[in-house]
Amino acid sequence: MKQLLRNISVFLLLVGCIRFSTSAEESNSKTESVPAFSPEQLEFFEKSIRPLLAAHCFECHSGQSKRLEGGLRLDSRALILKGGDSGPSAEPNKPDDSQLLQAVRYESFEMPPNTRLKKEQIDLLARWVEMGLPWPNEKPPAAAGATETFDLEKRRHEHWAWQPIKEVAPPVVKNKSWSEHPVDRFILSKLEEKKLQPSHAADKRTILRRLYFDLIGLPPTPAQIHAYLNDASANATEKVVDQLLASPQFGERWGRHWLDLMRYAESRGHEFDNDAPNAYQYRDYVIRALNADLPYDQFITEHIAGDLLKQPRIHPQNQFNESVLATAFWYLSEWVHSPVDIRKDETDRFDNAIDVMTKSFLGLTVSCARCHDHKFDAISTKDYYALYGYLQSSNYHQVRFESMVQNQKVAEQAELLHKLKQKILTEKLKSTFAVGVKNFSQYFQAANTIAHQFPHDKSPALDVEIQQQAATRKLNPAILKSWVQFAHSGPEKKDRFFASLLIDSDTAVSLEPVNSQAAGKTNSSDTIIIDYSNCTPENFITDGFTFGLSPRTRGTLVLDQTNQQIPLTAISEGAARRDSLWEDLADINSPKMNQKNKLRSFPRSGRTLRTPTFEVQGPVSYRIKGGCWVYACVDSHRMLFGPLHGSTLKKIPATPENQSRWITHDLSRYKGHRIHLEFTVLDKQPLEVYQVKQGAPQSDQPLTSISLKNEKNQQLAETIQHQSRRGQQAIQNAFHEYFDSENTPGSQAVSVINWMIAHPDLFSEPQSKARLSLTKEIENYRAQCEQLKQTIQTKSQTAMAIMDGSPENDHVLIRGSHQNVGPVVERRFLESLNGVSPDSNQGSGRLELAQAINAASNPLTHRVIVNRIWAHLFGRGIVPSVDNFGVLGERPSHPELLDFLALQFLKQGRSLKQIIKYIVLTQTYQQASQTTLDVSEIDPDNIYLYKMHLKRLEGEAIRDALLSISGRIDSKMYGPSVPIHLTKFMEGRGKPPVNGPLDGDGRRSIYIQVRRNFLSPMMLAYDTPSPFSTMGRRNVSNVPAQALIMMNDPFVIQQSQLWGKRVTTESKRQSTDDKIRWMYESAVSRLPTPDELAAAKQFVQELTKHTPPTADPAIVWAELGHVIFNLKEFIYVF
Amino acid sequence: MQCGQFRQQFTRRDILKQCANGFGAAALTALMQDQAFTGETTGKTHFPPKAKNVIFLYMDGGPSQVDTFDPKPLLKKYNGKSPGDYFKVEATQFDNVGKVLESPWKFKPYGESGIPVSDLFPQIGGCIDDMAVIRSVVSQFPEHTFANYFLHTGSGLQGRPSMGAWVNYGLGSECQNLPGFVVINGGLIPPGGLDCFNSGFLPASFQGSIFKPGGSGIANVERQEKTSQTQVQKLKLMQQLDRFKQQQSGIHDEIESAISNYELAYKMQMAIPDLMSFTSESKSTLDLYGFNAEYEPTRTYAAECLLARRLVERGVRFVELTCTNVKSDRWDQHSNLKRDHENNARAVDQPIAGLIKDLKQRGLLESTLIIWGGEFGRTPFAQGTNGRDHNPFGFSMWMAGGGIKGGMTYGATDDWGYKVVENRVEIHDIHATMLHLLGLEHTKSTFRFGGRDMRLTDVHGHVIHDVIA
Repeated sequence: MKQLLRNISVFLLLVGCIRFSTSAEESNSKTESVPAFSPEQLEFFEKSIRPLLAAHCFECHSGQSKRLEGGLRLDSRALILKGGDSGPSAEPNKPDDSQLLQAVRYESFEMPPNTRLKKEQIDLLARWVEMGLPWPNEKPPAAAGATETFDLEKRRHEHWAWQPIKEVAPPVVKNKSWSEHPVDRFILSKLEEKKLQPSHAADKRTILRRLYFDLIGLPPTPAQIHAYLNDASANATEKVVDQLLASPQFGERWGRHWLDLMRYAESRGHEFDNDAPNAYQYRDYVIRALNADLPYDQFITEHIAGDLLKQPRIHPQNQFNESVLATAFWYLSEWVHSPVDIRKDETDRFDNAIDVMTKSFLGLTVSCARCHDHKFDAISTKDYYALYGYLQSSNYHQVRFESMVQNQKVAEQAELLHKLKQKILTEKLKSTFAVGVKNFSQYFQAANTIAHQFPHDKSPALDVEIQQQAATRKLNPAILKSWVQFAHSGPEKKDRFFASLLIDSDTAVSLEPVNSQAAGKTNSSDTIIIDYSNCTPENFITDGFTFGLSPRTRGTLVLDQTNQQIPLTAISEGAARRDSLWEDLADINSPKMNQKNKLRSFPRSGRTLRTPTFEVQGPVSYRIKGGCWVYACVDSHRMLFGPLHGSTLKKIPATPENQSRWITHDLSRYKGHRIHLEFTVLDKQPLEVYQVKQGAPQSDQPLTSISLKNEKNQQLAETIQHQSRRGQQAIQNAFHEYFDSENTPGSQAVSVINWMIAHPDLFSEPQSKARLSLTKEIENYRAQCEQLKQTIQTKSQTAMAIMDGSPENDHVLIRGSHQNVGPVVERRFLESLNGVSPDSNQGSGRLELAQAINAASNPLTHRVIVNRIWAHLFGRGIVPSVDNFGVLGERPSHPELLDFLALQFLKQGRSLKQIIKYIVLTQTYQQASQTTLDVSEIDPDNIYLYKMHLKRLEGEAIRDALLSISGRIDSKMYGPSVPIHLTKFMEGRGKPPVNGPLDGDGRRSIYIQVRRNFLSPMMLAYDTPSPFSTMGRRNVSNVPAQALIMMNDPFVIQQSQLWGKRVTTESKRQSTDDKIRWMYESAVSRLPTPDELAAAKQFVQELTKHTPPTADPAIVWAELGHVIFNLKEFIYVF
Repeated sequence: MQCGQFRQQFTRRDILKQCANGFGAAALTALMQDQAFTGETTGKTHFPPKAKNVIFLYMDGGPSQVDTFDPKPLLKKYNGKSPGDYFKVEATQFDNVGKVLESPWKFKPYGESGIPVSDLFPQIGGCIDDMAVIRSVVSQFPEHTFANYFLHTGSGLQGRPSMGAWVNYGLGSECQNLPGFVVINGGLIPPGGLDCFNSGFLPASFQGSIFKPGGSGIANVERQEKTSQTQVQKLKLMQQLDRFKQQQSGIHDEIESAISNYELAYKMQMAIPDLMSFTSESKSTLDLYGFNAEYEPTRTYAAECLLARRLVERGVRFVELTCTNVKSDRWDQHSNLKRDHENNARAVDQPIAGLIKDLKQRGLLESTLIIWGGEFGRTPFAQGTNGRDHNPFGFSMWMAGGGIKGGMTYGATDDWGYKVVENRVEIHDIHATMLHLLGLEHTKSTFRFGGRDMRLTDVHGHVIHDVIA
């Protein structure tokens, strides 16, 4: 017993001591004092704890770990307290607050990962922490492999790609006769250095075929071949190049290359392969941009921030906004419907967007820094998460790109008109009511006296009395008559009138709160997310113009047909207000395939108001009047299907009485998540949105409903004189406040004015000059609005696009886990490229991001794009890893040439067509693909280009060539895609409900729909990439499936048959020989050799022999055509 | 391609140089290039393999562990009680948490090992002594598509190579006239679509070829010419013309590979009718698989299993079977657990047992690794009243043959069958173990893509040595 007591007292002492030492640590965190532990405690540690840690933890968490997990070591007390990536792993004396205990209890991390500790072991650990983690005073063991530290500057300094582009003069070469072209001199210089020499020039037919496929992706026709052969001028090739670059097929060919980078698809993959609506608008944008030879910096700017351009590019004929269409690239990724872990899903989507952006534009694998600083490149985890902010500050929508330009003008005119009319109407309203207000007490007294005298309002003497009184008191008899009628109308109406009059005068009248919110009586614990009566322009975020260009302040006069005599209303509260001007919007939708998404079940585009982003703390409430859809967009998730996130969407129809009300949205499931709300108008119902806040709503009292509850109501019945005097003052105050003050009028004043508007005859004679002028003005306003409405472009196609939300930053996620949140990092571009943060009050800052990518000083952007072009033309990049210029990428074979081309590109105004032309006119490009030189020892992979690379056509080019040769090709450009043809081997969820035609209507492959879960088997076999991320270099594989397709696929057979017909009808060739020659020339751009001709002829004759004479001769030609389609030469460009 | 971590490197040029005359040699180079169709395995494994082939019996939708291989008597005791009163209920896909739901099936011990299996699988139960039941698998994803990609590719994202592609990339195929990775489509392609079976960033030659268990089996394998004579005539002309071009332009490796592809394609076209014809199978074999079963889905799955055996016999490296359509839903019983789990089990029970027995009697089981499982399990509490929701926190898979220790269980879930408490097994561990049995060290089986050495097991994975014989 004694022993026990002693232990306890020692223990207590120790506790005190440890407490002291920890607080000392806090005040002086750098010096660490290890508390003294009792021998018993140390023994307990050695016996029970150290072995336990060693057995279960040290494998991954010690100096001996092969790979240290989570940056955490548990082999020294100091290191445990210091902790790993997730912070300190133990809090002395507080086991329940210690991550170590949470982890072994499987409450946070689940450690050890494979087998849970036994309860007794966990209790031991808890006891140990409770004691303050006794540990002998020893040095932490040295780490087995000291980890390399991340030194961004060093890495940037050491790797070639970060270095500025150098101006290099083309080298001097020995062979002066080969070519003057600077590019050729770079190539030749290297060849000479390696004791190699270029191959001879390719023949004209080969060059032409190469140019056609490389530039437009189609074979030349015999006529085109002959035109070129017959052109003896020195610049014949240049002419063809110009012609091809100018042809619309150029954009279709190079557009497909670009789409590979953008993981372009028209469905979202995942379970139901939902549509990615209108994705094809982006595809069309790319084709047009390439055909227009849009300067590359503009192309990039439009991708990153086409929505933010002050002066967007306008389509020359159709006048729509081109620039905004490019921004779809941000959102071409897979989407998952209703993920259980919604934030993780967001990080996956962001990761993909960043991966695509950085690989495509910069040739960098920034996404490798998701979990840890990049293993090899000068890119930190902070860099990676700094890019998240751009996405957090923006959001997806379907933009009304066709009508934007026109409707922006209309919206601005409407705003001007509104402002102008506001002034005029206010003045006219004032002069209409001025006299009536001034004489209120006179009318009131007289009317009440008369009403008292003549309780039955039909009394014949009444009129006489009114006339008499009017004359005596110098009042307008018509107004007086109205007042008498009002006095007759019963106490309730009168009381309401007085109530609204007397609110702020010293009358003993008490009213229910009118608008406690507006009066600033908010519950202090509730945060207002947005108050549209007091909202900065940046926070008024809308998709389209349905809510005008700004919120409306309280008292704003708006047209209101429910007031028959004066069809106006002063709005009772500052609001984002639906303007009925825009109620006729209509969408032109592309055909739907799969659309299991509740957010696609009602029209949203151009009709939506969004709040700034906020973090959910509990319930969210908003006050609105009218009807709407409200979508709580959690973690930018927008594929709503199934019950899991059903609560995020609410349909709120207008109430018949159309009163303002508070609505509470239960978002408790999303506590801690970032969301914003989207209010979308519902049918043609009116909508005013006043305020959104965290917390429960205030009492749901409508603004203008006023009731008299005070028992002192009786006093209202005091003398009429008294009443009228007070009334006079109140009404005059309200009148003055509303019409003469610079400030926004109070809600009482507004309700008085609205009462007056609703009872105009009490304040003015209908036929008075002022009144007539007012009604005329209102009518005029209405007519002008109507006129304006006619100029609205109501119908519009929509397209995927990005728009700015509120400026936001994201957190670093430690080890890439969204459950392990690190510090906030301000959004900015990569540190290695001198990224700076945008002014955080100015939207997302994407425009500045685009500028940083485009900066002429950026060493990557221009090298990357010229290298991509080179790779498409030569089949191999100067840097072969076209998407990765980082340390793990391959090194440039001709670094000086790369820099030279990048600078040339800048000099030529970043024109893609110019640089392509520049390259294809080199001797290097026009070399033959074979050589007698035996150089396999020196340059087996032809890195130095002593000959041209042989290139296999992509699936798209093969299919397009088949269509072109068979004559089936339809050169129609653009528009909704042709549905994919489904074979019986294509099955699964999300199968398109429409089976496309076998031949894709003869359209080029770029116009065939790309559905993630139903990709074309032919394209897959020929290595068209599965659209998941940037793929700048396609595989070129050889698989039997390719041969089987060319041998047996019904599409290929069908095209052969069409070709067979064409041979007999269109070719105009009579003899068998000529027919064969024509076929050869059509398919492989050359004439057959005598051997080839003989073999083909023999085949035709043989087959003809076995074909009945009555049969269509086209059948035989189809068979030969099929053979030619199966020649290797057909799918290779020499 | 940048493997080379575990494969011998021949460049095509080496081979071309060794053989004086182009054409035949070039065909061989094509074989070398396309490992999926290598005549002999040139790749060396990291250590001696126990298994040569894999048959993956994919139970699409997620069978319920507590109703199949992981009996939990406690559920009976607490049947109808609110689960939240006893343990923390995690968010579920459908967010419609009902009461604790006891299994509608009884469990019986089977075999010498006496391991209990539910009445859903009386026939498979009979093979228990060949099976290692792993009761502690976890997935990272509670949604089908993510979980399917994860199960198939080791990543929840689309576009990664499927395990069949990885295996073929690592080992090559032993079959000259069939693809090395075959997916037998029983009628239900899982959520996520064909990308579950794709080659991702690996060359297209490694992608899964989709076979149907009947008819022509595979796309474009039927000639379109009226007579085979015409086709042969055409192919002859093609060969002739290709050769003339070769004389003009010299030898190009790429062209030679393409030429040899035609040879292989033609061989495939010839081999597949034989593969697909079951006439040589004895009646007792057909009966063993369930060809005479009353239930149509059983007959379909029987054909899948038999085709799987025939593919393995021909050296196809990796065969995956997808579920048959039982007219309600795959193993995804959010409601009607009893009726539809029974239908799904009925479709596969006899064919799977038949497959194990047949492989065994032919001496093929020891070199064929069978893996059975879904993308996740199901909750021990009800969704609504008579279904179960997705449960990635603990579920059962089993393996048999191919070096697996039979008649054992590994790992455990808690008393509810909800979460793993012992010997947690990640999907990555299943992959690591599979590769190990095939003789491949998973950390060394890499492919450089996008600046990273990619692996089927990502940066994870531990071989489960305890289940290896």
